[in-house]
Amino acid sequence: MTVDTRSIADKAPQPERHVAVVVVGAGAAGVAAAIEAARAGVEVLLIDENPIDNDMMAMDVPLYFGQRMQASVRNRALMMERVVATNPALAEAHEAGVDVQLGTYVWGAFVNGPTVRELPGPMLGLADDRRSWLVGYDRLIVAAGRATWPWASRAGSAPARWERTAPSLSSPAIARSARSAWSSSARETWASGRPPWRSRAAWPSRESSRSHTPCVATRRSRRSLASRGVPFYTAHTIREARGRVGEIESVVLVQIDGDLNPVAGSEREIACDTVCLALGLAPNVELLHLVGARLVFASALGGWVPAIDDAMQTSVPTVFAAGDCAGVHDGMLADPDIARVQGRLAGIAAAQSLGAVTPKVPLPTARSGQGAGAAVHTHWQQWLRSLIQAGGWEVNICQCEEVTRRELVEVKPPRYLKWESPQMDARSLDTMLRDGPVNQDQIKRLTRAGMGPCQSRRCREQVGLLVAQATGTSIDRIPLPSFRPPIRPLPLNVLWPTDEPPAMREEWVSWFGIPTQFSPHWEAGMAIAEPTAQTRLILSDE
Amino acid sequence: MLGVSLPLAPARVEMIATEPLPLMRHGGVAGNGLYGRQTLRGNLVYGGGPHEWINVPDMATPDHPNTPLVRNLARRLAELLPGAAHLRVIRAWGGIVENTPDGLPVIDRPRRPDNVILATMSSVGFGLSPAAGKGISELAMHGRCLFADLSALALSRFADTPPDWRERAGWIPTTASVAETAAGGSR
Repeated sequence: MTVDTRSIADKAPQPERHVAVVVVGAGAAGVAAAIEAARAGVEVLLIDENPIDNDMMAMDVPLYFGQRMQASVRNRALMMERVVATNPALAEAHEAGVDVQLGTYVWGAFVNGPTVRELPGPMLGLADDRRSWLVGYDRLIVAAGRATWPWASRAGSAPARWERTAPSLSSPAIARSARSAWSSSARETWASGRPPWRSRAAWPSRESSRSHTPCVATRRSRRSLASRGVPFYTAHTIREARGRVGEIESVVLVQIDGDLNPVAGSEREIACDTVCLALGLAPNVELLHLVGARLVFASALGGWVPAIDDAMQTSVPTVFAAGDCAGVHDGMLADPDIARVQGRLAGIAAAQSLGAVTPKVPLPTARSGQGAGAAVHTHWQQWLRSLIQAGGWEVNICQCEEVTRRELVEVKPPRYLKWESPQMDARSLDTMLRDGPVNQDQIKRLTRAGMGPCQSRRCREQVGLLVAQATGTSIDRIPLPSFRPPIRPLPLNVLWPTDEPPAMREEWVSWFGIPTQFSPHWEAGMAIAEPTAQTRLILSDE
Repeated sequence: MLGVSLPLAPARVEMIATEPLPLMRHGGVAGNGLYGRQTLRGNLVYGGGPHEWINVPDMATPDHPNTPLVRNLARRLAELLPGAAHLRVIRAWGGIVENTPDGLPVIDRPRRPDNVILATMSSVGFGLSPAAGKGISELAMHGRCLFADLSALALSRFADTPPDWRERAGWIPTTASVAETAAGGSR
């Protein structure tokens, strides 16, 4: 049979290593999964991206560092020490024979399908801060955690941003408080049937004697906060964050009425050096999307989650999901055992599916904690509305591409094009809605919101909610925007392969290499060779 | 259904985009086996390299994922612009394009049936599409293109193309069917 030597045939990449089970994410679920599979006698590779490289810290991969990283985060050894110290279960995994690789990103997942057939098998793209490589797997357990909510707000004249919680690396006390505070707020709010009151508590920061740390808190914690002298504001939202470059100096709170409108004259400026955001969590489903696992919308589980069975198996038989990435809610924040049990189930199921005999362990069913959440998106919608009504429309919703809330709903072409057109001016979400359901990918292409270096990790949920709000569409009807590899932004000289097969280099063409394709059609039959790597570069000499 | 056979072979190709950098003096630099440019935003957007011939039932719009080829694209781009080797790749994407046996467009209004217009740009349509669109509209309205002689793009040039031309050219998927490889995970 003839083979097109310019095609991928016979030069598909080979993974440099193959492992029976790869577990992505070394949190409670991932470590538990890895230990169970290893104890069943299966070869297990456990990967976690932390400690991440300094450059990645502003990219909102699931641990958050805010904007006030100190020089110590550049100290890899120290960061590694911290990661290990805050996760004692890693030692247990190591004892069980798990190959633990920290500081390793998963930037891609590649599987064969209708339009990709050349791969020798499913594989992950991995990288550290120096190089990238490919690892093949038989079973993949995704325990990639969740992303916290990055709410953009008006930030005075300075681009100060809000701090988010960094559970293992900033003050654990603050993170824990913030998380547990969030964990009951939504439910209590709606159970009480009151308008969405939002609470701010400020207590002396343990990290700084200079100032205070405003933080979301709840009625339940109100009493304990009050007993420590912590002011506590309900029915307030944040109008503005003020500060210098890289530092926050104060926030302006404003009271909101039953319609979420700011109450004139109720502004209150509070000096602070940190803002903890603990508004909500969204399952991290990037990898699950890439392997083609079916995702369903479940507001009580934080949004888009993989469809899984009782053994944590996704719609792709070789892929399992466990922990927060499979759906997250208040109860899971309070009780890490829920994620741990899910991890164990996934580890056992993956090992069994490879023929391993696992010891009989009494386990609660996977769903014991899964359904315990309350729907969160209505609560988030209210938050967004209060922020817009208090802070206005000129706030960037996409920080990378600097697209404002107004530009998004008016579907404005990006400012850098310096392009005005009556046709585009006439377009808006309303006119798009007449053409069919609005989807976020379309909005990305037209406004560039979500197209920057963070690839919408910081604005995905907010854009979705704003589009839903502006078009009167139920949030579950707004399709999940696509994730494209690399799901971690990697430098060209890290992503590149150092081991290209000779055929890849020698037979490389920029386009199809069809001899007649670039011949003038009036000179039929004339065949010219397509420019290849050997062709000299010609620059104009204007 | 129309009794017209247009020989086409679809394939999947890939591109990468970097984070933006300040606009270069020559934004259109290509070479080293890559095509692409710097966008007005500043991203370097480049593609190239081996394509994968596929089968697309009923000319549907299939999924168009990326493969580890994005690594090879990264290497080529860093070789082309060594000063940009530190730039981060922020996304990649794939697309499905089709080719005729000679890689050139078919824009034609055959004699029978006489109310059908055939048009494919054969994977070179991006820059030509405004002219092609005008030509196609004129074929519909006037029965011929008024501003150019399109006879070289007529379907009749493939009258003698054998039905198994894709196999003969090697323009077909070379591996086992999806069903056979699906055990390893499939989209």
